Amino acid sequence: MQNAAPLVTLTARKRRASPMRRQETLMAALLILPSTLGILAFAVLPIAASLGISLTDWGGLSKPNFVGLQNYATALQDPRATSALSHTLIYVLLAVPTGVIISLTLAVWINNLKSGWLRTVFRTVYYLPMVTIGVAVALLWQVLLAPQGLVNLILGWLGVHGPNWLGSPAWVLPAVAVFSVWQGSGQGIILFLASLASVPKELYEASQLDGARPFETFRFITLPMISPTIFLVMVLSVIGALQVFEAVLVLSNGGPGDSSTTVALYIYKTAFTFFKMGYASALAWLLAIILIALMMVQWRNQNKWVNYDQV
Amino acid sequence: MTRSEPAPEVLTRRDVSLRAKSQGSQAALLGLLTLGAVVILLPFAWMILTAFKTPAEAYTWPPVWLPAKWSVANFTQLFNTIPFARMFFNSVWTSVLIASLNILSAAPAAYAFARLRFPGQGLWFGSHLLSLMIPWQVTIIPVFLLIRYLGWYDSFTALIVPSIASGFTVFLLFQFFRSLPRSLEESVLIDGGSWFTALRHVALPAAKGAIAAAWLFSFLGNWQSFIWPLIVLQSSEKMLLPVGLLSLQNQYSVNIPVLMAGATLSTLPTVIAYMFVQRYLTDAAITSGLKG
Repeated sequence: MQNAAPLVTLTARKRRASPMRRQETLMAALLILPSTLGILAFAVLPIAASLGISLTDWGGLSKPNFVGLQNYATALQDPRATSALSHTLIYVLLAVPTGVIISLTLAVWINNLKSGWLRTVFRTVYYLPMVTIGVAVALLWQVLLAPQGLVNLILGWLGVHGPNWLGSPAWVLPAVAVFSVWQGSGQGIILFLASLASVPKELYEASQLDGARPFETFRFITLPMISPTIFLVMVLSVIGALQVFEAVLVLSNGGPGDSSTTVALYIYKTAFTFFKMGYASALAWLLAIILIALMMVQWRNQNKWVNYDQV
Repeated sequence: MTRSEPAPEVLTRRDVSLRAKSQGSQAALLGLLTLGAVVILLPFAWMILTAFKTPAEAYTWPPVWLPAKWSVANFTQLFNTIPFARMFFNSVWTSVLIASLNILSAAPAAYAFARLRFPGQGLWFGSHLLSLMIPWQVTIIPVFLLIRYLGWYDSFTALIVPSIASGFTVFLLFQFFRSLPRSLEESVLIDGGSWFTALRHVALPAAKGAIAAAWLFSFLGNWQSFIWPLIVLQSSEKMLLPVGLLSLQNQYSVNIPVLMAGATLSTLPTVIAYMFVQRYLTDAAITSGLKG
C-alpha cells in the first residue's frame, strides 16, 4: 500500500502538472509567510546589520563613524576581553567534562534499573532543575554557596573546610560550574536515555551469552553504540558553556573583580552598560567565529571514534 | 523518538545465585541514584525551609534545618517589596501568548517545508536554521536598536513581536511532519482536495501531540527567558518574573528568607505542572537535542 502511493501521485502529477505546481507554490508562500517575515526581520537582517555595526564606533545614539576593522583589532589587544575569554575557557573545561561524565553515568544507572516506574521517577527528578527559572535557582545557589551555607556545612561533615566560593577569585568559576552541572545535567541524561534505549537488545543478549562482564559490555557495546550521542551532548554543552551568562550575572555579577566575567557577560556589559554597540558587535562576532570553528573541529574529529551505523 | 520501555527480564531462568547477585546490583543502583536525587532535591527543600525561617534563623551557624515557627511573614514582605503578583501575571500571559503565536506561525511553515516543493525552499528553510544557530550575542544589539527606533522600548510589543517567529518551533514541527506517512495526504490530493484540505484535515489532527509538546517547550522557554526582557522592559509594572527576582536581590531591605520566598513561589508552579506533562516536554527536548 505505502509503496504504491507515490507511484499513483507521480502519474497524477504528470497529468495535471502545471496547475498543481502553481497551486503548490501559492499555498507554500502563504504558509511560510508569517514565520519567514519574522525570521527575516529579527534574525537574518540583524545578522547583516550586526556585521555593519561592528565596523563602526556606534554608541547607539550619536551618528556612527565607519572605523573599518578597528574594533576587531582593539578586541585582540583588550586585556579585559582576553581575560574574559580565558575565564570562559576555564569554565568550559570545568563544566563540560564534569557534566557529560555525570549525566552519562546517571543515565546508564537509570537505564540499568529493571523497574519502569523507578526509571521514570529518576528521569523526572534529574530533569527538574531544567524547568525552573534560572534566576530563581541561581539565587538559591547563592545562598547554598555562602561561606556559611549548606554546601560548606556538608563539606564540614566530610572534614573539609569549604572556601568562600563566590567571594574568592580562585573558587568562583568552579562554583558556577557546580551550579551549572546541577542545573543542566537533566538535558544530557534524557538524551543519553533515549540513545541507550535505542541500542538493539540482541547485542546485550549476545554479549551475555558470551559471558561478558558488565564493564566489558559497557566498554565494547554500549559505549560504541551511543558515541554519536556522547559527541552530540559534548558539542551542545560546549556551545552552551561558551555562552554562559545568566549564571555568572546572578551568582557573582562577574566578580570578585573581573574574575568570573565571561565573554557573554563582557559583551552584554559593553553593549548595555557602556553603550559601545560597535565594539560589542565585534566581540559578538569573535565569539560566533570561535563557536563555529569549534563546531567544525569537533565535526571533523568525530569520524575517528563515532559510530553512526545505528543512528 | 525512542521511549524507554521496561526491559524484558533476562535472568528469569538463571540460577538463584545469579539472581541474588542481580538483586544486589539493583539495590546498589537504587542507592546511588537516590543519593543523586537527594543532591537535586535538597537545594529545593532548603529553599522552601528558608522561606519560612526568620532572618536570625537563616544566618545562624551551624545552620538550623527547620524554622522554629512556620510563618508567612517572608511572603507578606515579598509582596510588599515588589509587585510579585503583577510580575507573575505578566510572565504567564506573555508566555502563553508567545507560545501560541509561535505555533500559529510555525505549524504552517513547518508543514510547507516538510511537504511542498516550491522555489526558494532551501533558502527560506535555511534562514530558519540560521536563526537557530547564530548566538544571541550577535543579533541582540541590532534588534534592540531596531526596537528603540520603532519606539517600542519598555512595551510588551518589544517583548512579543520579535518572538513571534521561532526557528526552533519550525524545526521541531518540521521533524514531525517529515516523519508522518505521506499516504493519507496524498489520497486527499488524488481525490481532488487541495493542500490546504490535506493540512487542515489530515496533517494537523495527526500533529496534535507534537504541537502540544512544541507549545509546552516554547512556553517554558519564554517563562525562563531572561536577557531580552532584561534589556527591553524597564518599568516595574511590566517586569517579568526572572528580571523581577533579580531586582529583588538588589533591594537593600530584602533578606535571604524573603529572596527564598520569591524563589519558591516562582519555581513551584512549573515544577508541579512538569510532573503532569513531563513526557511531552522531555520528548520535545530530545527532538531538539537530536537535531544535530
